[in-house]
Amino acid sequence: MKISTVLQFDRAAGQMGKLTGELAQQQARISSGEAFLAPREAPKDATALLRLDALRSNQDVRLNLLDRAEARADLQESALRSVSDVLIRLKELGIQAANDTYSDSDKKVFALEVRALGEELLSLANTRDAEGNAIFAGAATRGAAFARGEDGAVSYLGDSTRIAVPVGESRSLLLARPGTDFFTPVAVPGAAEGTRESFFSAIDRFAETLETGGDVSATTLPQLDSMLEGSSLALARVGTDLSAVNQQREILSEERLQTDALISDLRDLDFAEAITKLRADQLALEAAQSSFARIAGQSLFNFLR
Amino acid sequence: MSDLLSLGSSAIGVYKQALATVSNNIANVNSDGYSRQTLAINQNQPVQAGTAFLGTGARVVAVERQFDGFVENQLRVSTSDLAAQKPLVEYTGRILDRFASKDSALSGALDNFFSALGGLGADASSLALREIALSDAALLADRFGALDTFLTSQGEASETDLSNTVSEINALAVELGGVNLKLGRKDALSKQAPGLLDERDRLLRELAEKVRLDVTEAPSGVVTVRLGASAGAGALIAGGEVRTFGVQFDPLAEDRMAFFLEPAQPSQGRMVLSGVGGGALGGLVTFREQVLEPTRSTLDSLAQGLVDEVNRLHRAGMGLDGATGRDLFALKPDYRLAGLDAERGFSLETSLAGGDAAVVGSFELRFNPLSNRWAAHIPGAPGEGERVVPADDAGLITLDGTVLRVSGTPSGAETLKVEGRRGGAGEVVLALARAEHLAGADPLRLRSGELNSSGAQGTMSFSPLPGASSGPGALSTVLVNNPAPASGRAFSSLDGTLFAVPAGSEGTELVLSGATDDATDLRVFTREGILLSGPALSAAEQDSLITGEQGFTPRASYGALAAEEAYRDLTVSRGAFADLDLEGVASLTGDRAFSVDATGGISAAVRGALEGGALSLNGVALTGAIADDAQGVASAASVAAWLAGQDALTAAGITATADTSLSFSTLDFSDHAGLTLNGVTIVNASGSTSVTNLSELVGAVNDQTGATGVIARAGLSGELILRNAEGREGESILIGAQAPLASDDNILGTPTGAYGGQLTLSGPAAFALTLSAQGTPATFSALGLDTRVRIGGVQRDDLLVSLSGAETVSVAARYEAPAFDALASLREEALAVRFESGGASYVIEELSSGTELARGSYLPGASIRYGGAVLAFQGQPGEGDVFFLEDNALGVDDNRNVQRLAALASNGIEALGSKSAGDYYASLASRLGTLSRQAVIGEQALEVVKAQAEEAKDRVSGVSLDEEAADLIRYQQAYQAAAKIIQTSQDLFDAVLAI
Repeated sequence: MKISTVLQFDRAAGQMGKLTGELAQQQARISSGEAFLAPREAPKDATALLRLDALRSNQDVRLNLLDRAEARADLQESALRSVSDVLIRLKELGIQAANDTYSDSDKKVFALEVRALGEELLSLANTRDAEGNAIFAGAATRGAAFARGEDGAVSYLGDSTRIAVPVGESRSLLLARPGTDFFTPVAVPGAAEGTRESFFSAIDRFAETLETGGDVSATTLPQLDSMLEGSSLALARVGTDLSAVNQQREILSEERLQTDALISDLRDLDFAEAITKLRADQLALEAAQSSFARIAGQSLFNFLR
Repeated sequence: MSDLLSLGSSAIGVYKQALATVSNNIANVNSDGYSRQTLAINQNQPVQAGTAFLGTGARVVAVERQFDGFVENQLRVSTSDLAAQKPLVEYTGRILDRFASKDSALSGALDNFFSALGGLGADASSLALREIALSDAALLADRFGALDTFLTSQGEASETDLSNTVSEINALAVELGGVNLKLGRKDALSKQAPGLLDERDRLLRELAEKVRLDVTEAPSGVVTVRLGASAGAGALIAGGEVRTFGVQFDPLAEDRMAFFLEPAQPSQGRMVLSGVGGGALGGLVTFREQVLEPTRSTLDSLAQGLVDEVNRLHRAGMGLDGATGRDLFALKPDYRLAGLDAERGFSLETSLAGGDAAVVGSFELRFNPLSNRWAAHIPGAPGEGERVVPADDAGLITLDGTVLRVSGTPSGAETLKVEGRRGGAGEVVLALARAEHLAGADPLRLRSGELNSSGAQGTMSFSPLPGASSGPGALSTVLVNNPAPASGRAFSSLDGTLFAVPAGSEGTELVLSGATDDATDLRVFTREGILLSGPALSAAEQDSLITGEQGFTPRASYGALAAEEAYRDLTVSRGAFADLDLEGVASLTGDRAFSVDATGGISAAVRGALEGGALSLNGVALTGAIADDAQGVASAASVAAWLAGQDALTAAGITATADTSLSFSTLDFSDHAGLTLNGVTIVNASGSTSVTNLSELVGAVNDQTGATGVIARAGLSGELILRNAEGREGESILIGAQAPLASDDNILGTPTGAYGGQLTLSGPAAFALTLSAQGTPATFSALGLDTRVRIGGVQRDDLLVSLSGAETVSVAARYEAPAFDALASLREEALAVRFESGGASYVIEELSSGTELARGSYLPGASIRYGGAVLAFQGQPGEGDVFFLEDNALGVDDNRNVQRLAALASNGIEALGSKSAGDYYASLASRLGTLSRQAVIGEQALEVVKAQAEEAKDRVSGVSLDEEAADLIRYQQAYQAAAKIIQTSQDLFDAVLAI
């Protein structure tokens, strides 16, 4: 088969040019460490990466939210522990005051301490986080969660909204609960069935009873018991939240690791393979060059002397 | 002549030429388009010498050009096909690189936006997080714009490439036309110079690289070249005649471009070519049609779908300032200059004036040199004039929320055509100005009472009222807005609920006319079954009427307001109302004459009802005995006098009068007809009852006024008008026939009987004559008044209207129904949901007024719905538990709405085929990837095809130096041999001479 001289040279030049181009590209990949320089080199991988990047960003958000939930639960836990301590002290005072050996003036002294402890509880109920949000107020975090009104009674100013954040495909955690879940109203012993009064009103009544020399054993002591019970329950709830956070974090971190592995598979260059290919391309180019040099030298004219 | 010398010299000549041909081949080894030439050598005619034929040497027949038309054609086609792939590969690759790279893709901006919203969910009141979310929203809008701009730049680049290709085609066509002219001088291909044919084929190949050709070759080698599929459209090149090829772009659609040939004569029109493709030109067209435009429209759909969905959710939420209904993004309308105006140096810039912008389909911008201003001229709907919006002093035209600025220098009066459409990716802008306005919270909350005994938790959602799925239509769909009874419709109690008066209606007035039975009345209910006006329902009526089919809330239970009990801020009053007119007078005139019995008085029942306090004036009951008039009956005159004597009226300065005025136009003067008025027989001057004309009748009646108390006059159109004489106003007029004629056979052509008067009340201030609880529309009707049911105050609920009684009566209405914001209404008036009977039933009350709005039994797990709010409870609410449905302005950390927005990261959007925005974009990128891949694969395949075609051509026409070297030696040897022949001839001659 006849090959014209021009075609012969054109083909060889084209071949070598292509190989040189591939070599340059392979070199650029190796120096950047990326499996492809532009999406057009690997359209399927590039578009798959778009989805994986979205997945990773979603997982990052969830991990971030877990951190927030943990910080919030920690804060609630420490406040609630103090609440428990105060309630235990109140109970001690109640038991002492129920003892008939104390006179009315002694009870007035107890009452002073009860009032002070009540104020401490109120300030604990108004705990705020680093951003200044009241943590026992549901979603109404700007103002105080509990405040003493003009009539002297403490009322709950927060709302009943539970702030949930999604931390998994179908898992969400509560960042905030209404304050009345922690400072629960208590039944009024001796009153009609179902009559309740608020947490702080029970404590105010404790102090009032002492101030007027009344007996606290029938009303206040059972109420303090149920308050302590409520505070333990609240602590248990927060503890559950914290363990859920840790559990979910493990799941998410695992998922996150898998996503990273998938992304790295597609985006990062396999150096061993890349360098092997570079070698192979180099060899091919050298072979093309040397064979061209030989073939180009072959001309009939060389032999016509 | 066969002799050695001539044989030798002819051979020398032949091989000299052969060597020259080979040398020419060698010389042209690198010439583009050169076809190898060979010398055709043939033997000369032999001469006969005796019986033998002696050869006479060789001669040159022709220099042959090595050429195969079929192979050449194959090469041309494969050149076109391959050239078409190149721009497709390049441009598609560029777009893919932009759309799928991790730094410039939309997906990164989308991820950041949704991540910021997700992060905001942890602390919805944080201004810092809000600022981040807002700036990520702005970046998303920018990214949409950047991708759109990139597409536009690729569109412009491909447009330039296309225009350049068209110019190159034209230049090549002119060259080829020149070659054609030269070829045309010979009549056969064999006579053409090989170089000329090479030149022709080279030009054709270059043309084929630009566009697919349809080439026909004449025997002389002259070619006709056509483009596209339309054979009848004329040729680009026919002989020496070359037409100018051109392209026209549509500024409004990148996938639309028209190719045409300029006419040979300027008078003819352009010839539009269809099916032009192949070559670089075809590749660019394919790119624009199959890659650029679909990518842009997909991106636009994504922008529109995402913006709509985000805005829908965002509008429902509440910002930190408590406001709802704001958009997060906006789409500017996309206004573009149509036609060639853009090429004339005019351009249009748009921005949003703030707030919603409506899109005006197409309009004109006209420049008025006198005022030195542009103005938008918008064509009106059929039958309406055009709307003109002039530019302001700054040169800005504000058109339906969009600010337009025209750039370019008009030379005198100018008209630019503008096409408008909904904005796409390039028009996405951030609409929200302040981070506080980001709607993270729900506008309503359901707060548990502090001392609720059960631990039941309530949640609420709001979905605007879907409109009752069953029950009657809205008032505006049932009745026309006209209170005149003639515009009303006839209804009866069998119709169930007649219509719904939608919440938010203002000044609704229902007019009931034709009631004669005391049981007939209009009932007004709320959808919850509370009767606000009208007679109480019997148990049987409750069962049949208070049902879901009649438009009541399912499980609604009947309840009636106690006497004097108000329903929220609503007042429902029945009666007649006099409003102040422009002259400062409030007057009330009877709709009709009184209904009177044969004696001319109202019925005893009506009289009893009136005396019993059926009427009130401005809320004060009217009582007291009604005195008979001079005729001894209780006529309109008596009622007017009774009203005028009431303290309530005198205190308010209201006068009450009555008047009987009758008009008759079908008078009957036939001789047997006669007439009695109030029992007095009417006779003419001669004492006869045979009155023959109107003036005689008027005279006759007026002659007897003293006895009848009636005066008469002739009306302008020949009718008789009868009225009460002075001092007897309002008394009924009894019309009788002259005995013994038939009862209605009288001159007036009217039934005999008593005709009552008409009531008029007039005062200096607006007043209301209303029916009290025991008053009925029938009582009102006897006084000649239609009963109007006025619904006043703020109407926060839908109302249903039905009829009581057995009569069929007419109901007309006047209404005004502005759009009602159910959400705002719920936020304005807090409601309490109280559980009773140990949690088995609930009551909804308005907190401010204490009005009970709804009552029902509570089924555990089922939701409670009221006014668009849907309440659900976890755990069984206990006795006395209360939940407050109220404004959530304080719930700053409420993240319910921001989470709904953040969930769009993975939730499907209906407008995007139920794909999430990220997935929709990823499939766009995937599609681009596939297109790019296909283009590359196509290019590789076509490269092989072209290489084969090149080889095939090369085999025929290519110059191989080895081959030429061999030929060179061959011809050289032959030449040397021929020279030897001459030498031999010389030797022979010398030998002969030496003899």
